[in-house]
Amino acid sequence: MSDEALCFAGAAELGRRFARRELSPVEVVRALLARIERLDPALNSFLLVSGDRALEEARVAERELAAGRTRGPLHGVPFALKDIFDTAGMRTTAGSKILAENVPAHDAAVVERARAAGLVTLGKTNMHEFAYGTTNDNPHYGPCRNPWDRARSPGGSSGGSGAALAAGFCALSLGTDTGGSIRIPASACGVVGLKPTFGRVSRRGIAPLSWSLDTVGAMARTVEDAALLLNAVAGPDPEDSWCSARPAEDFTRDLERGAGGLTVGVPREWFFDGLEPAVEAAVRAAIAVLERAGARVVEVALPGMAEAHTAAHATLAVEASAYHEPWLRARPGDYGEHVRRSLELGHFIPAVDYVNARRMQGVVRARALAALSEADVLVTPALPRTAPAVGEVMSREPEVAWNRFMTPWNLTGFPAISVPCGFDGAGLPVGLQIVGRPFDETTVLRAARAYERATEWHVWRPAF
Amino acid sequence: MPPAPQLTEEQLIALARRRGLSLDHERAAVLRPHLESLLGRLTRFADLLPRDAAPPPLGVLADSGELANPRLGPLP
Repeated sequence: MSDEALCFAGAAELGRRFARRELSPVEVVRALLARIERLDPALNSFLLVSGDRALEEARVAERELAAGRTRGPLHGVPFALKDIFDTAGMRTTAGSKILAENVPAHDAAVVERARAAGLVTLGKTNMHEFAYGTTNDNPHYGPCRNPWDRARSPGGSSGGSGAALAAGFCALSLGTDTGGSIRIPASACGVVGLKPTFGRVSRRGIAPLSWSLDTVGAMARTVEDAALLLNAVAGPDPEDSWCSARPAEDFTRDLERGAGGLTVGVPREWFFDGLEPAVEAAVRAAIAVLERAGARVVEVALPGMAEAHTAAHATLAVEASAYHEPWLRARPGDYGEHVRRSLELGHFIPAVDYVNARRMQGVVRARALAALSEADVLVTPALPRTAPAVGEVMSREPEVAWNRFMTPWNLTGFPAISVPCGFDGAGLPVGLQIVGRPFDETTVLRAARAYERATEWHVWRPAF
Repeated sequence: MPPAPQLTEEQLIALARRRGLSLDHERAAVLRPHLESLLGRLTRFADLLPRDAAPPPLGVLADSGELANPRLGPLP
């Protein structure tokens, strides 16, 4: 395989070839490190590359595999972590100046699990400061850029992860999603981003943004790879009080069942308002693909999404301000202007409004469950438009917010994925969002894989 | 429908000071329209919410008592 082919190989394929001793994890890590060194200065997708450590982990994986000790299908596969996950002995900044010198003593729960699964850590990826934003315009470490057009944002907050995957710098990445922060960069960078059900994955060892909404999830170039990464990190954690006790599952089990027999719901309201024409065309075409693949497509009612966005925004704002209050008092100048303003705003939301936002959460959840009683999954555009220019300020007003199709699923906690479904006239990726019932990631992944199998958008690569 | 709350920059600065935050006129002026818009939308929730709508306990999890942490357990 050429170095280029090694760098764009999927995690499942790498794992299979490592296990069969056809390929060396060390060889793949060397190729990826060389590619990152050569090309990442143009993207700024990594905040820290742990090359020596990655090579040592790859050597360990190679020795274990040679001795017949396999840790599972991702043993030896290189991945990257959003710089919000604590890594023992490795700087973890959350994209902030406040935590610029933070070197955690312990790994985050998901990092422990990823290491136990034999994944090899390449480094920490760029992100929007403290995950509080949708663009990854980071004032402290520089903006991350979109591999499809370096004048564009990769989206955020897990923008470094999206860019690194699209650029062939890693096979997998872990991100967090509080208001779309996995699905936004997945859509904008043309990769797969899975936000599982709230509580499916432990959040221990992660700087919180909003306790009620934060969710850890998987980013990859294929649906199968995202499912494998979720397999590696999901499951109960007694040390995360909001983590579900529901046992981990094999999320790959229904991947190849196809769309036959699935009912796909298309919301009548909200999700098709104000779209860029290229986005609407790509998503309508994607729905037709699912129908041709055997799915039954029905329209469903889903009112109140503007209120859902507002409730999510208010919940996030208040909870983020509560967490950051001591730093905001003591070190306000160490925040970037955008995040500082967002944190100040949260202090002025009355308790009555916060409680009403929580009450609205229950109402929206009931409406979404009603829609999902008529369909196995819902499909919507992931984003109403393709990637904005680096530096463009994104509105949070519900009618125009970039993430307005995603925040309802943070509020309800339901699983949602973005998969590539086309490009606009400028060659920027478009994402299709598929949403499922709580704890039914398996059906979300099945529908996503059925779509992926019928199309080739996921194999397109940026030329840069 | 109730009107959107009107806040002056002086009120914002005073509220911020009460919480130990530093907010000057320039920053308050930038913040005010965003805050008024959000508060206006939230104020309307009082009319939109059914009277019996209660906040759901702990996201989607507590409905089925699925908390992993035995110290907390399902909410009463």
